[in-house]
Amino acid sequence: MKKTSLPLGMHDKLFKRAKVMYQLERDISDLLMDLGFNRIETPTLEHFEVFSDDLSLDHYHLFDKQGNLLSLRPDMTSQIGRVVASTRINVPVRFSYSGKVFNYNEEMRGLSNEHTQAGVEIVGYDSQKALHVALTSAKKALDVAGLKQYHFELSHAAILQSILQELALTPALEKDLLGLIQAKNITGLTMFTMRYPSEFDAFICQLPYLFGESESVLAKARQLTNHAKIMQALDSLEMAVSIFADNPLMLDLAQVPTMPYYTGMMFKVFGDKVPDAFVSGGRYDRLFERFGAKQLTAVGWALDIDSVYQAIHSDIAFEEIL
Amino acid sequence: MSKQITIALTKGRIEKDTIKLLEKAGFEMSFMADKGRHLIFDSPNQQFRFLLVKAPDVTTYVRHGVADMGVVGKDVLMEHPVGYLEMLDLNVGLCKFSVASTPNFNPTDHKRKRIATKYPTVARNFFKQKGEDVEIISIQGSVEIASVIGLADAIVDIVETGHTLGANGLEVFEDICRISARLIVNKASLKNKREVLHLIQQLETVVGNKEVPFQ
Repeated sequence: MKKTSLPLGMHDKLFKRAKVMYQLERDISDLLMDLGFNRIETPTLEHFEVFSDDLSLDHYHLFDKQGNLLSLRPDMTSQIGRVVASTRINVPVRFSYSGKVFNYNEEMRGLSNEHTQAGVEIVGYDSQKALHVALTSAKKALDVAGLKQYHFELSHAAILQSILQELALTPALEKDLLGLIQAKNITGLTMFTMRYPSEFDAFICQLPYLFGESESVLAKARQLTNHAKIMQALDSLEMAVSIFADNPLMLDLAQVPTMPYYTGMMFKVFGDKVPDAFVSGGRYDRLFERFGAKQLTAVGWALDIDSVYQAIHSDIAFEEIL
Repeated sequence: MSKQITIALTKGRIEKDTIKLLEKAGFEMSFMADKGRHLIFDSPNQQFRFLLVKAPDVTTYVRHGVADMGVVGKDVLMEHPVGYLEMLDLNVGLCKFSVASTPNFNPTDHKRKRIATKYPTVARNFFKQKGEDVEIISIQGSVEIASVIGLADAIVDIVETGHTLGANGLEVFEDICRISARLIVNKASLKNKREVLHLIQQLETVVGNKEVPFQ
């Protein structure tokens, strides 16, 4: 009998957690609509191809009665990509959303497979302007949530893409290299450059250390390479940092795109008390290509409300009504 | 004020090797000499806190950020590959993963092999990469017996000296990969505590940035 037990990775929320999570989702959603975003609601179930071309073990899958394979949505970005590509909706357009997303994590590690996300997608605007709107709206959302200690961290997808393009590795080796970069594996990257030497050796070996204060990271990175496309990416990072001079932005050049459709600037927000990023976002121009639509510039971010709750809950007084 | 760094370690050899490395890096580690039954240790100046836990749990503690970093064998990381940064090869605890069996084992035999192992992910990935489909039998320990008494055609296990294999009449047929102790780090700790990056750099000067080969 499983009547009284929860499936793996699922949790009930009661009292303080239930109330505060609801208020966070409501406050952030209201803020985004006040900022001029159009609320969008997409379905929880979709055909699995919307989210990935291959079956991903990290997603929940089920069959409908016609035998179609469906996924519980692991993110809303792909869904909004589908909406824009498959309807006659006019661009430019700005969307905001909130709701539950589902990911299948390693079992029995104390992880949640259901998260509440809020976020935005800014489609078809000039990319500089869109990035500015994305960063400022993310900051406002974190402030309205009551988060005190956090910092933004920028990166640029073109840096690693340029390296991979020049190295022209086999797909398996490419995956190995990205894994080493993502893990900031100092020893592994040094050994990799010894086995597969290239003009990027110094840059690749230093990648694990290329994060932190933007000024020193940029200065260090420019000494390590003079590749035109990477220099261009560093310049656009510097410009973004200068636009946000009143909110010091950090950099992490070893940020590996979490989604294959990222093409430009990427950003994450980290804070004390929470082991993962609160917010992740960036620019993706290739999202719509997957759905057979023309090339469009899109910038978006998603905020994990569960992580925000984890960071702020100890600051909130709460009395149970019994 | 400098923040305390919490480090999760596996009791036994990895713990001893790690303490030696920290001593080489110039830290005073005598507070770890007399452990008794304690599982949590704070250094007298509050610079470090050590947690003594089981090997696979090191990854869990680091993933949740209750430990900022941990030291654990690559064998364990290969079974639990996500949720942390694997930043440095400490070049201690060297050994290897190998396929071993009795001398009459024929690796090119046509039949689908049964492989006994404590490391099902490692074994599955190794044979998959060779394009070979095998049946994995998960065994908790003393894996050698499985191939001696015929439960499995071969085993995938850690080999350090080869003495245990030899004593049980087994030999290595193929090496899978080198194993050593690795330093794993929580993503947010690296970004939020300067002390964490500083310690990694100090350890790098002790262990170097190149793999020391096994044997």
